[in-house]
Formats: sequence, structure tokens, C-alpha cells
Amino acid sequence: MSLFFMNFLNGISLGMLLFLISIGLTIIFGVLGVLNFAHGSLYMLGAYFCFQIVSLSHNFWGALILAPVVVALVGGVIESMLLRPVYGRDVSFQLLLTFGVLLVLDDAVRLIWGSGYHIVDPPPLLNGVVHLGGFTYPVYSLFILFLGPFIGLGLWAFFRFTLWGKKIRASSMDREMAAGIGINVNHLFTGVFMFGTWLAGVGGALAAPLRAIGPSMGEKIIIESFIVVVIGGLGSFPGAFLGAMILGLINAYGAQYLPKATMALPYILLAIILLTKPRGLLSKET
Amino acid sequence: MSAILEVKELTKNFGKFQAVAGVTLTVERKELTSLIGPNGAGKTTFYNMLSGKFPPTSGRIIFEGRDITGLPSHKIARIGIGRSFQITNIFSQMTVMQNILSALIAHHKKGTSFFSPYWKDAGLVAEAEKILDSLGLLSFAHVPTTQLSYGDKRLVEIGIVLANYPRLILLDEPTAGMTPEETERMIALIHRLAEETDTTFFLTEHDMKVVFSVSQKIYVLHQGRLLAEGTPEEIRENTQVQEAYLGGSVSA
Amino acid sequence: MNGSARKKALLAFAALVLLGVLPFVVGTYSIMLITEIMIMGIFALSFNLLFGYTGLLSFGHAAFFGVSGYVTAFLLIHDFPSLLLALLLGTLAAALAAIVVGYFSVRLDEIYFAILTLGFGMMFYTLVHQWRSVTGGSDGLTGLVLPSLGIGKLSIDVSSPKSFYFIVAVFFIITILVLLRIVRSSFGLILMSIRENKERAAFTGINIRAYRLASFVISGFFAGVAGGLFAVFDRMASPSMLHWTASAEPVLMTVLGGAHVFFGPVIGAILFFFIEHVITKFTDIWMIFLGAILIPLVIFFPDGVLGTLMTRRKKMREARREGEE
Repeated sequence: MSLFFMNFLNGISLGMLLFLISIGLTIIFGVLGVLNFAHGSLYMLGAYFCFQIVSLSHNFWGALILAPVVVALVGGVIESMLLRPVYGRDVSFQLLLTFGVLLVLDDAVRLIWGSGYHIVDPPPLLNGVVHLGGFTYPVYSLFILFLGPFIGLGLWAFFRFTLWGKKIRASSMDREMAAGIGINVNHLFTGVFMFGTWLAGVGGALAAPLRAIGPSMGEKIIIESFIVVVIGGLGSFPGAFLGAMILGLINAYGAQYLPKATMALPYILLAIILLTKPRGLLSKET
Repeated sequence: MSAILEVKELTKNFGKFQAVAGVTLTVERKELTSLIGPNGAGKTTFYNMLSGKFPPTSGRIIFEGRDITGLPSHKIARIGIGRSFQITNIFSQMTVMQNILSALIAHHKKGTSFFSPYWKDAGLVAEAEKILDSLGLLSFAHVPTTQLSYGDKRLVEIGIVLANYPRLILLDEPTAGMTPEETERMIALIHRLAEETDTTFFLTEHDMKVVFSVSQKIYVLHQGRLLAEGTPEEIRENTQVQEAYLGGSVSA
Repeated sequence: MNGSARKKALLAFAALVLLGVLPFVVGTYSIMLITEIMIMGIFALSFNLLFGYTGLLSFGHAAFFGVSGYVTAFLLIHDFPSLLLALLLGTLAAALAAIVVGYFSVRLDEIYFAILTLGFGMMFYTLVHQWRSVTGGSDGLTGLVLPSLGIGKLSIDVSSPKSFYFIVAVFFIITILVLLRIVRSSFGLILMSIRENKERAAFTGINIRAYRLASFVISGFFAGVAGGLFAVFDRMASPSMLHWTASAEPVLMTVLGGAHVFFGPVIGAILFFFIEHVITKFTDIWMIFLGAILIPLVIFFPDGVLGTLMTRRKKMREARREGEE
């Protein structure tokens, strides 16, 4: 029973991380119409920046604030210099372009930090474990678990109540209309892309003490977050949350009950959902 | 005269919105028939059901005595109904000739020949040339369609439809966006094709001048329901129709 | 024969002579490099039937490459007597996998098609990764025993790089001839019309799913040809053959060379290996350069290297013709 509960916590905390990354991916798709292949690499960049800042300053909290901002700046450069010329072309071009960015970022990381793994310690406040009934659990994982809903609520409030949030939602529904009512689409696109990559950076920085930081961490997470956004419904905010939780729990329980098949479960789930609800679980289209 | 198309109680709901509500109508063979109505009356939805783009919520569609309700579009095309679209719908990165040839290949079921070059099929090419000639497009045969004028692109679409030799052709606003000269040309073409071939034409149209000059029979659709039917003269005199077009909310 | 056809025939002849002479002029290392380029060229050509001609971006094509590679390797490890038959069985297995994956995937379009094929591809990847007893797990299948190739009374030892080069060259030429014929056939024209306008094609009486599936299976078949040859070339089959990053390789090659020109993927494969070859002399980190080349290519030359060259030439010729008139 306690193993079951522990896996529940594991699944939810993994889901929270996936949610942070996927929400950026889905916002970018919703507004810009671009499926960003480099999103996982930006998440990885967040983790590396966090590692770098921590090893220079020994201040995790500072790194958690600063690293995502630097990632967002990288995102701004990518959007305004590389993506802008290919809007309006076939979606495969945007996929390929961001794939090119992925290749560059992944190898840039190898060039700068080497091919080995790096570790970031959790801040002293969150180091150690707690006893929960029959098992011990890392404090840092609990922190992620509780932080996730706050970030989710914060985002929800942002989209609901702020002017920028409303602009973004309006543009994701109808791009032409957005331009018609005087929204500067260029600025909006850059802003949204930076916001999305900032979220990826936050995810990366938060993941840094949780996972070994290596050059292949982006490659793995991008496929997982593709699955999350596609099963939830591309461009859907609650869809990303639902998808992330499902995938997190599948990973956790799969490891417990179906250790051999756990690697394949997300893909099987993806195929089933795409074939029965081609636009994802939380889409209104049929 | 016999009916080529019978539509019975055709209905389409999109969620709670009823786009087409229980429309019953008949198109007689070789009688040039039009479906008119103000914007949002449900004409395109009606056409999309006839041509199999999506199935109706309820009702029946009978073509030449055969029930074709809910069949997919490629099957309906094979059975003998062709259509054009409101927004020009052609194979854009291909030449005019290739556009017509691909429709001919589909019609003659030659798409499964994996190894024979299509341009070496002399019969097929001759057929395509004949169609292009009748549309006045022969000199553009090897021009990519992206280089054509708007009116010529619409003609290519008619050519694609003709290459299927349908017995019923649905034209969805064939003169939309055309210059007055192009519109004249299109009207003349419809008249000529209606006379020279066995094809029955059923069109929707926005331009009343076009409707009254080509139609022998007119149906009026308003808010998804059939408001009136009759000859052009009858429709012209109909007060209900006048009200609907003036924008007054007519409760049928 | 008109001028352009004669030019094309001459070009083809020159290419054939070059292919035949090269292994006698260059060293073993280069022979193997060209062999690999031809194998990957087959892979990229197969991918482009789907992408360039049918308009479907598959991100899971490595599945068919890998399935064939594994079946071929599995047979050859277990002392299968015939190399050609092993390759054939591998290729048929790939085609079978393509029938199953294609049956589901061709219902979707664009990004959704790309993601679903990626998902299916990764299912195959996890399968070979986990099914240790048959596939060797993450180690893959190693130690292939190559039976000599018997054609009639002639027996060829395929383990020498030079003779394997010629075997691959034969498959390469056959693939080119068959695919060239297919894209220029009535079937090929229908594929292109589906690519250009799915809706119009359907209302012309074309069964979109059936044609897409046919294209998918042919494409998977030739990806299988490449995968089987690759396993023989490498003397092993490993899970990385099926990973999604392997699916990205034919995509990259095709975009490098140009998707709307038949030989684009081949040129792309040559460029891909050339870039890798030149850069890995200095550093192992070469993907960054590939990315740095890919990005401007996508932005400024969406038709790829060969595609852009061809359009340039066409425009120049047209300009000249207009000048003469």
C-alpha cells in the first residue's frame, strides 16, 4: 500500500514537471502555430544554466530565478531571428527549423559542459527526506509537488485576468482577428515564445536537483511533452495538465506493475488517443 | 422529365445549431436548378452533404434512384456527382494538363498502374486536350496553375469536374470573386455545357443576375429551411423572398 | 531524342561509369563511405516518396529500416544460408510493419501524422530494446555470419568491402529505377494531387487513404531494403537504428538535397556524410554544424540544394529564351 502511495507521489511530481514544460509547448503552438522541437533542449538549457549559476554562486534560489530568464532570452533570439521568416509556410518547415535549433543547442551543451553528467544539490532548506507512514520521501520532490499547483494557478490567473493573458488567449483563438483589433502580432509572438521558453527554463531549473544533468535530457523530455500536449489536445491549457498527470502516473505505476512494458506505455497511449480522438482528450472538435 | 436528385427531409446539426433543417427538394434531369439564399442560409452545408464531405444528421439523398446518404466523397464522385467549391480548389503546384489528367486517371481507374508514365497514355492525353480545348485553356496546358489568372483557375476547376464525366454537377458560387467579363464567360460556359452534354447543373449563387439568367428552377433557402421554390419569375415576385433578402427576420 | 533527354541519358551514363570505376580508384575507407552513402540514399529516397510526393512527413521511418535490419541480422546470426533471401525476408517484414503502421497513420494529417508515426516508431524501438531474448536488448544483435552470395555458378564473397560495394550499388540503382518509374506513373500523379489538395482529390473520386497507404507501404518496403543492407554493412543491428533520432536522418538528408526533386535525397545523403566526414576530422561534435547548416537552408533555400539549383537553371533558361524572342 505504501508503495502504491509513493508511486502516486512520484507520478504527480513527474507530472508537475512535464506540465511546466508542456504548457509552454502548447501555448507556443496555440498562438504561433509552431510545434517547437527545440523545447526540450531549452528545458535542458535551464538545467545547465541552473547548474552553472549554482556552481559559481552556491545560491540555488538565485539560479532558479536567473536561469529561466536567460533561457527566455535565448528563446527571444530564436523566435525573432529564425522562426519569423518561416511563418505561413508549411508546418513541416517550422518543425524542421526547430529541429535544427535542437541539433545546435544539444551539441552546444556538449561543447560547453562536456558529455558527462552533472549534479545540483537541492538547497539546504529542501535537502533530506521526510517520513510518510511507511516510507521516506525526498523533501525536494514534495516541494515540486506543491509548487506545481501554485504555478498552474498563477498561469491560470495570468491568462484569465491580465491584459497580456487575454491578448494571448484571443490570438490563440483567431490570429487574424488579433491583428485586426490592433495587437502587434510580431511583439506578441516574440513575447509568447519567450514566455513559453521561460516556462521550459523554469522546468529545467527545478529539475536540476532531481535528475542527472546530461546532454540527452532534452531529447527524452521533448518526446514525452509531445505526447502530453497531443493527448491533452494541442493548444489546450487544461489538456496539458491532464496529459502531464496521466503520463506522470503511467510512468510511475508502469515501473511498479509492468516494468517490461513501461517504456512503451506512453506511445501506446498516444496511438490510442490519436486514433480515437485525433485532436486530443480535451478538444471540442471531433 | 425524371428526377436525377431527390433530397428528403435533409437535416444537419452542428452541436445545438441547426444549419440545415428538414429540406426536401428535387432536381429534374437536364433542368438547370439553383439554390439561393442569403449568407449563412446553409447552402454550402447542404452541398457538403450532397457531395459527401460530411454525413447529414438525418434525411435521405437519392441520386438516380440510389440512396447515397452518408457515402464518403470519393464514392459519391465515382457514382456521378461532381462539384466545384466557393474558393477555387485545384492542384496548385501542378500544370493545367496534370490537373485534368489526375481527374481522368481517377475516372478511368488507372491510378493503380504503378509503372507506366501517364504522359505516354495517348488516349488519356487526347481526352485531356479535348476538355482543355472546350474550356479555351489548351494553350495553357503546360503552364503551372499558379501562373494562371483567377478566372482561368476557376475554369481549371470546372475542367477537373468535367474530367469525371459526372451526370450531376454541383457548382458552389461559380462566379464568386470574378470580374464582370469573367462572369459573362462563366455564364456562357454553363449554358453551353448544359446544352452540349448530358450533364445536369445544380448551382448556388450569390449574384442574382447570374441566377435569373441561367436558372430554369430556383429553390430559396433561408435559415436552414426551404422558403420558396419556383421558376425565376415566381421567385422574383415572391414577397417572402424579397423580405429575406432585404434582411428582415422572416419567421417561416 | 531531344537535347534535354540526351543530356539526361549522358548524365546517367556518366554516373554509372563513375559508380563502377570509383572502387578501383579510391581506398577501402572511401569505398565503405560511399557504400554507406548509397544505403542511406536508398533510405532517404524511400522516405521522400512519402514526404515529397505524397505530402506526409513521417517521423518514424526508422522503424521499417530497423525492423528489416533486425530480421536480416537475426537470420544471419542463426546461420541462414542465403544472404539475398535474408535481405528479402527482412524487407518483407518491414513492408508488413508498414502495412500495420500505415493503416492507422494515414488517417491523420500534418503534425498529427508526424507525431503518430513517431509514436509507432518508438513502440518498435522499445520492443527491440526490451525483447532481450530475441533482439539482444540494448546490445543489439552482433556477429553476423555472411554466407557467400551465389548467383548461378558464380560465388561472390561479400565480406570484402569492394564486393559489398557492388551489391549495394546494384540495389541502389534498382531502387532509383523503380521509384523513378513510380513517381512518373499515373499512380505517382495521383499521389502528387493528394499532396497538393486532399479535398479536391477526394471529390475527384480518389480514395485518399488507400493511395496514402500504398505509398506508405512502398516507402516502408524500400526503407527495409536500406535497413537490411545496413545491418549487413555494420555486421550488427542495434536499437539505435530504430530510435526517433534515426528517423530524423532521412528527413534531414531530404531537406538538405530538396524534397521536390527526385534526386534531392541522394544529393542530401552525400552532403550529410560529407559534412559529417569533414567535421569529425576535427571534432566529434558535428551535429551543431549540421544544425547550423540546416537552419539557413530551411529559411532561405526551402527547396534544398539540388532543388534550388534546378529552379535557378530553369529560370536562367527561360530568361535566355525570352531574350532570344
